[in-house]
Amino acid sequence: MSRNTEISTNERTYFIEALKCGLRLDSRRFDEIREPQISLSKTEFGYVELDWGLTKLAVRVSAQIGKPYEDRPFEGLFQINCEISSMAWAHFDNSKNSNEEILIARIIEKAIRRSNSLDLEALCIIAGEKVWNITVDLNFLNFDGNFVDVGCFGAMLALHHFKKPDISIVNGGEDIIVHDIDERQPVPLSILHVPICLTYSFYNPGNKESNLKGEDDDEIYLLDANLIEEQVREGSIVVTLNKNRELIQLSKNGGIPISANVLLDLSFKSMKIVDELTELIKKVISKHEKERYEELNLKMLEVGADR
Amino acid sequence: MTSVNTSLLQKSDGSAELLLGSTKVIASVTGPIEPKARQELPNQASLEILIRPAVGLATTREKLLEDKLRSLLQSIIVRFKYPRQLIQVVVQFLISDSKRTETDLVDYTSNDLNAAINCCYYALIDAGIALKASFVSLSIAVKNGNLTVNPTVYELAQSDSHHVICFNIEKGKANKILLLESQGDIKEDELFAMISKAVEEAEKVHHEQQRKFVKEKVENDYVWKQ
Amino acid sequence: MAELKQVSFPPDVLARIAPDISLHRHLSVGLRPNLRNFTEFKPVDIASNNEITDSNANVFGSSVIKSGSTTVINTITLGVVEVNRSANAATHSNNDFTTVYPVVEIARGRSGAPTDEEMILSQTLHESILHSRLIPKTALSIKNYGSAVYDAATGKYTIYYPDLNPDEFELINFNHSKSYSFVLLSHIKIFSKQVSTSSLFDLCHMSTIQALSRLALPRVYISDTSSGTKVSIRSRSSNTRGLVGVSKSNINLDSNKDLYYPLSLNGATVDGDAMVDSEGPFDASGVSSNFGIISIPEEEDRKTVLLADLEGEAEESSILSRLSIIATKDNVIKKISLVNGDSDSEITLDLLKQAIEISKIRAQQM
Repeated sequence: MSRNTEISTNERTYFIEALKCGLRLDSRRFDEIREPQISLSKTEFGYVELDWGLTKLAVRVSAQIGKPYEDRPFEGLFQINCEISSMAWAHFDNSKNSNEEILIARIIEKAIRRSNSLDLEALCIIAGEKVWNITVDLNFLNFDGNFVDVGCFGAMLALHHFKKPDISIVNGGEDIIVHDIDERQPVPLSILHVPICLTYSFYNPGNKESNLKGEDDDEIYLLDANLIEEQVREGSIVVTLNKNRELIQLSKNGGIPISANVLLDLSFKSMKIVDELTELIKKVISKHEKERYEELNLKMLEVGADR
Repeated sequence: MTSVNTSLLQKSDGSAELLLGSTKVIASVTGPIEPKARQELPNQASLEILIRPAVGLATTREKLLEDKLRSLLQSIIVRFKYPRQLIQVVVQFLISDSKRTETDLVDYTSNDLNAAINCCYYALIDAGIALKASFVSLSIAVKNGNLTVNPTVYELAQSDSHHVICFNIEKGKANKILLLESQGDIKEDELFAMISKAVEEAEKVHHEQQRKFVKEKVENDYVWKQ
Repeated sequence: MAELKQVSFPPDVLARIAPDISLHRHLSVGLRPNLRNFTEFKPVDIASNNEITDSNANVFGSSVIKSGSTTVINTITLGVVEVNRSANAATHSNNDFTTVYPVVEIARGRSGAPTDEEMILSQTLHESILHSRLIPKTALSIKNYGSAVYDAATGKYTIYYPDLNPDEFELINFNHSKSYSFVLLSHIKIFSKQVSTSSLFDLCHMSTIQALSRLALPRVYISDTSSGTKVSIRSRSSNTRGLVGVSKSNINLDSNKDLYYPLSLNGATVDGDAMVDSEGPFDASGVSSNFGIISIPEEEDRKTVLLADLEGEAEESSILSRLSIIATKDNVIKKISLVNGDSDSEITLDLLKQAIEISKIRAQQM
């Protein structure tokens, strides 16, 4: 078996013909995403397993105490590790990062880190000396298309799930004590907004030469492509939005040109799904919180009266 | 305590997820596939082994674990059956029980190594790669002459010595030691007592878990044959 | 029809093209390619009274070891880290042990990232010293760090320590309460490698223990560039300004050699409070020995032999079953690493016993 299996002409043609008839091979609508199956760890904070169709991802958030950058003494450190091993697909090389992998890592980084979705100033402990260093590890286990959307969603979910240990500052600001999670309740991270990435793939089933924009354009757009759809696509765009209708990042790297009003159209259409996914994160996290509250009987530890 | 799942990853030829104590690991085996030119061996299969930690990026710690796993797999896989081919094994730790707290500098790799070896067994079977024999690995902590099998990291920290021992199982009997990694203070007679106790435990694990699991797996996978 | 002529190769050529055959031929007549006995170790010379220093006085311990033409030079340098005191003392007990952070470099006429072999040697060394409980954490903690005081009159700095100069120290406005600890960094350079990787581990282990026994730790003092100035820096996202202390206290190593003190290694067991003064450097740590197991055909059967201290191309590539043991002269085994890579040669319990015996005897001789 060769490492780089290409999709056969038969499969490709079958797929395009199905698209022309308005059908997707897994019976989804063109603008429908696969439903995510979420599993949050009950024993530790910050570990999430996410199944998105057949794409599988395990995300872990960890925190260490370190020294901040000299020119940013008030900010904590935050990084996202996004290496893809050949476990996900033999096509991915263990030793070298292919262009694909680098693009995936960059888009996720732009969407989450550079958009300041995590409040870095809230990570400061002692200005100029000690700050929290948050690391998100994305471990892709199985590849069935769309690592970007799944990675971004998984990372945001794990960041919501994670709680860092409580800290006390002693000795007039000289020393800190890190409290064990059994001793004091850990503290959640301060997340300013939730970016959600959505990837649209384009196909031009008509004649390649007449790819003119105007009344004749009949490009087909699919949301959340799986592996076959990704291999056959001729272009893609990643739109990252949050619930406040803010455009976080936009990425179109080559591929067939699309018309500009389609771009706006897709952004509008995406809002509904962005809302749904953001709600899903909040719902899953609050359900998990509630279960934990009941299980550990935290009501007994509450000091204030229940109003 | 121990639970195994196989065939979870569609893109790998074989995969297994193992939960052993507090250690959760997933292994994928892909092969025989085409090797890169520099990896090719003329009359045997070459092995590419990658281990990724539960937290952070891979360091020299994972390199050492890869080396130990490689020396084990090199001898147990029938490599002459797949000449000029490559077998790729990727082990990803999901939950690791190697440190007492996140900032602890003392790291015990035995639970990780043990889980990785046992998980590779199921993944190799799932992938249909020819093996010379079954193998079972155990993680053991010894304190004051008392043995604890599959210790937690706290038990490892309190122990006098800790060991990972892997046996070759043929006809239901553990007859050869394939791998032994011992760290800490131990006397010779304690060591041999530990080994003979481990033989019993390994055979027990083989009969109660491995055989049972593989039998059920084959029945389920070949249900279409009935 | 072409005539087949028998081709014969000189022994060194045969060793390269068919190492296993060359090895079998040697072993069946009772010889090894390197002409040692089966259980004989290569002699090791440890240079005594040899100190390596560099111009910045950064090297605090060193050792030079030779085995044949293979030379191993080990230098230990220091780093200082801040230690955070955790509220939960149970998990970070003072009975914990720490280790060295080695970087092994095998001189091969190449430059670049460390090879797999070098990484594995470094990591194995790091882990075996950690688990052999040799260096207690408390031995590296920096107690009584001093302060450098600037005398405007003379224009010089004088260093005062709380235990050596208690009167002067009381008068200083000393408001540092952080805890610090040393970190041992070891750089091992291997020249003219002739021996196998397993033997290299033995040599590296020996050289590290030797260097640790010769290690002298310096005193540490803090010098303030200027005390108390704080600068107002605007935060990136909002308009608030905060005060950030700009004066950085610098941690310095006192190069006064009279104040150097040795590293107190652990000579006893886990307890930590019984630190026995060892006579030789290897008494507490043990000596590492490596073996290979190979079976050779003898008449109709196969005979399994134990070879000590693998050396040479033939042994390195044909012997797949390896055994590495660290044993002390008090009959304690500190580490065993056994791998049975060959289905023909089996490492029986008797062979293991034999190897342990040999290791113990070797430890007693060192």
